[in-house]
Amino acid sequence: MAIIEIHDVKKNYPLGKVEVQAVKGVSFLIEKGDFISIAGPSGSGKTTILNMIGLIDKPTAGEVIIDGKATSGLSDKELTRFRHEVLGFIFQSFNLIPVLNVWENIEFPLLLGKTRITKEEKNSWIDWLMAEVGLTEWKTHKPNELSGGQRQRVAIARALVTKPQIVLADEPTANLDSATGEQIIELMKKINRELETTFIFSTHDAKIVEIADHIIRLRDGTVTENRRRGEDVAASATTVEE
Amino acid sequence: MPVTLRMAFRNIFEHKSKSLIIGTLLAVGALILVLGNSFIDTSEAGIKRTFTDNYTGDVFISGISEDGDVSLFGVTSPGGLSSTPTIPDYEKVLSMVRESPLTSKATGMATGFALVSKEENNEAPNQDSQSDTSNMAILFLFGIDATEYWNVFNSTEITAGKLLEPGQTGLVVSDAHLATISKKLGKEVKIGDKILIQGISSAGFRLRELPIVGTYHPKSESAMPEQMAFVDIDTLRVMAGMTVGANEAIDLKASDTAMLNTENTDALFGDDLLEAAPQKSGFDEAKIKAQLADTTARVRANTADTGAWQFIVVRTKKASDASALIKYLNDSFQKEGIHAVAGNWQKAAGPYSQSVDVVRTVFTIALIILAIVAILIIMNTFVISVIERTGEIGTMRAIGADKGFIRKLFNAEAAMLSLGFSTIGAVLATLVAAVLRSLKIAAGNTFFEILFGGKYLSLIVTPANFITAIVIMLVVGYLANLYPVSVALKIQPVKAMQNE
Repeated sequence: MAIIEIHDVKKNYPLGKVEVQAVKGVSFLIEKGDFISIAGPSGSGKTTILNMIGLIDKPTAGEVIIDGKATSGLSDKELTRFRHEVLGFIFQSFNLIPVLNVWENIEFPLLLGKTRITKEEKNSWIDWLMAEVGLTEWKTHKPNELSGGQRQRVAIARALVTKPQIVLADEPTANLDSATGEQIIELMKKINRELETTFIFSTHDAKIVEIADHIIRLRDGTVTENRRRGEDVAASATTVEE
Repeated sequence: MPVTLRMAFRNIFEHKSKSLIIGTLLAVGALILVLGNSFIDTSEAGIKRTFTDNYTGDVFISGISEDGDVSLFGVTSPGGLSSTPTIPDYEKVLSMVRESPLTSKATGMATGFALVSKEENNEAPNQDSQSDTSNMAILFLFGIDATEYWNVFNSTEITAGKLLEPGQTGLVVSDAHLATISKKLGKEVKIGDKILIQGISSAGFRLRELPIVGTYHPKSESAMPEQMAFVDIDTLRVMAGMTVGANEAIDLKASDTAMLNTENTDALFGDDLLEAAPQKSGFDEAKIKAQLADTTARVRANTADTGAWQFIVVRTKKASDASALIKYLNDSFQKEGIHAVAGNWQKAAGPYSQSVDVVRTVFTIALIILAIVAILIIMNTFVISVIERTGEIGTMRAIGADKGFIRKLFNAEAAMLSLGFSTIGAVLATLVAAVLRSLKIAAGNTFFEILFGGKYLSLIVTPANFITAIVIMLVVGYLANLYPVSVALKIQPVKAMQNE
């Protein structure tokens, strides 16, 4: 069952007096529970597509359907609620809130929505997440007291705290050394299996791309490859043309 | 603690330099506000105390002048030539006042100005003598009924001689001013000595020789002008033109007004007029003597109108009763068709109370200018802070914070800064006021006595001064934060992706 449907999505950006086409009519489906990599070189449109799936940017044309709901007509308030309830975000630069400690950063999204859970439920859930990402001993530390890998683990826990159906990660390993990057991807994969959360991450690291169940390759704003692991490249090219 | 407050509190410490810039402005603003308002309030309270305790009581009743407002100092009119009206139906008005359950004591009075100068100057001042005031002392005369006045006002103590007694003619001057008079006259003036005073009023100049009966000193350290002197009411009435003949009209014949009716002004100075003037044959000396022997008009013009009073001053049982009594009296005057008006001490103090208003207005204008500058600087600093936190705001928006949360966060920061630093400023101001009070800075002259509300600068910070300053600085903080918040609200969630 497709949790995300992208139909002929285009995105143009004004650049001085000219318009640049960052995404040129892209279509694909993402199944629930998938671990997906969106790969491609810099400027291929990876981040732009992630932004549109994450509802933090709007397509110039086309439709993004999430969990069966078309998102193009939603108001700012509805988009905010949708992001809060359905989506989780992991950023390339971690984007932790500097004045909050590890525990508070993870807790933060829970304080934003209207859904309320008991204090005991909240505490045990955050503690479980902290244990899962291996940061229990660092709960009172501020982000600037953590390494890059630790910060990204906090970001992963924060993205998961609202129990979203989809987690979007924009180049989550770009600011990490390769060993730490692999650990982060492994952690994401582990959580994907345990919680059945759909993970979509963008990367240009070929080694990391291959860990994904489903690979979408982009070049110059178009999909050049869309295949599940195990499918051959020729088959995927056919799929794209269809 | 809500997450917005927690984050706002920590952000203030996270961005120390910006917080200090904003905070210093807010603290200085609060300090100026507290000290300024305390100064004005102290001054106003001092003047109020001085006037209500010494001159005006709690309620002040006067006649109505069409030329301007009536105060203790006369009619405020262009040129200042209008005479102070007397209270019509004085006895009726006085009984209305005394019958009110709110009234404690009341008495009638009148005021006027006079000059004391060396004898060679005791003639109607011409242009030259008016400019030569180096050997003249001014007296601000309070014409009082000695039987009642000292019961109503008990704020002076006699330092030499005695108070005026009922029916006694004479002057009671301040001890400080007696020294000034002695200096101006070039001789030592003692109790019992007579001095020649020259009354000045719209009725003209009147000379009277009066004995100095006593000298007084104000009981409290209030801004009481040393020129104030008490005189018996009948002397003042004569000097102020409140006499039985003051309003009499003399019928003139057509021949007496012939010259006044001429339309040709040149003719007034030509030979034609002399030719046209009635020529009586013969000079009847007996007739002239007979005319001069009739001094009735002169006597009447110098006989005090014993029923004439310019003001009634009233002490209420409680100071807070003044407004109610004023309303009752004004309603009664209107109902009875009496051309009089009741007011508070400020109406009575006229230009003196306005001096506080002028200081307050100048202070307020200066504060508004300062506030605008402060708002601009604070706003600019907040905007820089917002721009620096674009990625953080974008991240919060991306992970589910709505615009209301961002607004609350920045408003909480502004409110905490405003509250914290304005409290520091207000506390500092209270300490500065205490230090200034302990230094006992003397006023030195009448102008500063009025400004200080007494002989010494005595700043007292009231809870109202303290709270008002904090509230105003909260408003300044809020206003300065409006534009930065609007900038923050325009930051899109996609900015999270551009965070480096």
